[in-house]
Amino acid sequence: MTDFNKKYPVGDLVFATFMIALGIAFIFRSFSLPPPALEPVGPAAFPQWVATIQIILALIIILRAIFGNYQPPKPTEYRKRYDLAIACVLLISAYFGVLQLELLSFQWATAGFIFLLTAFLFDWKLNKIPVAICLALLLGLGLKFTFTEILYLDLP
Amino acid sequence: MEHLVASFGNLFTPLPFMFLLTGVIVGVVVGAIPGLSGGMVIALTLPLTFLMDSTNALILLVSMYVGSTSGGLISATLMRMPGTPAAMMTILDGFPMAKAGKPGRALGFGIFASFIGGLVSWIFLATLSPPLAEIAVRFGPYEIFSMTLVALMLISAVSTGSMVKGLLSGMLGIAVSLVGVDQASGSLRLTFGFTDLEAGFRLLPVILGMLVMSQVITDIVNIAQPIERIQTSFRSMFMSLNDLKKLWFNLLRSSLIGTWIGVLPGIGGTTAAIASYTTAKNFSKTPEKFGTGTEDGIVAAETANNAAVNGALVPLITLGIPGSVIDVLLLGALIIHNLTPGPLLFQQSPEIVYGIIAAALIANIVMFIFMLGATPIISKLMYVNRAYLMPAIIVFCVIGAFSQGNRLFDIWVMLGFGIVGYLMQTAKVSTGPFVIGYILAPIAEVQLRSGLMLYDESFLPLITRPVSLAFIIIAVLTMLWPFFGKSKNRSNIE
Repeated sequence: MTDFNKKYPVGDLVFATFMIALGIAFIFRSFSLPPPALEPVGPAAFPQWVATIQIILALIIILRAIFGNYQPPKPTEYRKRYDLAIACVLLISAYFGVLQLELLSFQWATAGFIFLLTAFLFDWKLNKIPVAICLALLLGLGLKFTFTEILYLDLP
Repeated sequence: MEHLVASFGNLFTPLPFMFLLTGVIVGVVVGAIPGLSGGMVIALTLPLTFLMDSTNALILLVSMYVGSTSGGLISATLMRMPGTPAAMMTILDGFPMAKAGKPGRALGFGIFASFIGGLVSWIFLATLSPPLAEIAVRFGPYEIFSMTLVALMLISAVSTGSMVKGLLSGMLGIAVSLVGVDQASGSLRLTFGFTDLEAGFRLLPVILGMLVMSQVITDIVNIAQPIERIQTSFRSMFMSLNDLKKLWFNLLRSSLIGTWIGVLPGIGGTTAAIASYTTAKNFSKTPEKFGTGTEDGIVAAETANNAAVNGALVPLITLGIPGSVIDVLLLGALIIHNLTPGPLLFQQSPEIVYGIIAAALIANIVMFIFMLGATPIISKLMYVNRAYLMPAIIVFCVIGAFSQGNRLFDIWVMLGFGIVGYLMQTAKVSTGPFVIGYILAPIAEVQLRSGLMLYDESFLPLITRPVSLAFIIIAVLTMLWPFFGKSKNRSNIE
């Protein structure tokens, strides 16, 4: 009888499925590579070997996930902030987008990003806003100066 | 010998000594802050070393390595959170002793043990490395391939949790390294038509994403995690002669265990601490005291994890085989500085190799002095809110990812690998094997194909050449070791 209450390790299943998809893509793509010239292995062999092992290992994980005895992790004593993490990743993407499209120079984009991220991480508590502003200006302008004038590194 | 003396002389000139001091201080502080790690700070520092002299760059990175391994004991003792994974076993006795009102004594024992572990293992590093490199310099492509295979098999050894997941993580690292130009034939592969992928996934964006960004995302998710604080006083941080008499054998034994485990590829400080702690418990007349705050437990764990640092440098500088994930980053640093890791390094760049060896000793001494003096201050820095640090870490990641190729594409790669790394962590897939696979696979592929060209397309010399055969046997044993080792260690600890 099927146990509808059984819990599965979703993370394992997603990871293994992704690895199988990647392995299949690698194998198909490697068929279009040129044949070996100076030695019998050629550029296609390694990707094919790796992809094959990858698929086998991923299948083992899937089988274990489905038929194994999975114990879900105990809930933590504190609230996990997935919402905050997603917001931060979106903010980071927006920061990269601004740099990519050259909407702002590095120092001002960085200062804005640091201010917003610090404010987000402190849940916009008013007493932390002045600290966030100071940190943003210090790092935005300071890093620009340090990397371009002292270390002579190019910045985005 | 003259190279070593010259390297010590160089270390005491202002600039290299400043890098060493900076490396130790930053390493100790970062090692003490939970959520930050030695690997993380070394990965973030790599781009800063681009314009530095290679010797100074390696001095800085090795000092950070020494500092961060030792710094982990402060948070392990005072917060019950290991600042670095290698300090995991220190918690078992360090925290109970600190909670019983003797934090100074717990830290003092840990610091002294770290110092002795580093000192004893350094002797092995300095004496074993040159003759080993002399032998290794005669190796051909198949020997180098099978040697790299040993390192790749470490994937199974460094995997925490499921070995299958660890191997899969390593395979993903290898797969990522295959994208771009095939080094042996020069043809493009697995770019899927994207011109940005023709240069492949570069080292820094991948490493910064996998090791640093993924940790930042994890820290944000866990930002509400409460931290246990205990009242601290730092009296009696110095060991008495009586203590030393009582503990000298444990110090020596743990140093030897740590060095030996460090020399074995891929096993690293955490396993060294576990093995040493277990041995100390098994040989103790009062094993029941372990886990309740005994000096023996702290000494065993801390001596071994620091001894493993120098032990792991032996295969790294002589054979180009990394002993741990941080050693992989040091290997990456050599590659970034256009140096060929492996036995030829001793001949081609002795100043680098002996610079590393000299730095390992002086960094250990500086660490000891600094930690004895500055631990009360560092213990306050540990409680700094991570929300202040994360934005700065992300910006450093951006600069680091961009700096290797001056491509904005790389910062997206870094973010992508950060998200993948975080998802892997939530699925309990270790990211260490990914890094090892990513760095070593290209070396293995090129050497295997060179060997095939050299030996008339025959794989046979892989097992007919004695050194190659020996390495292949070690590779197989390395892969199988966790099946026996982990279960044995677990039962011993229980």
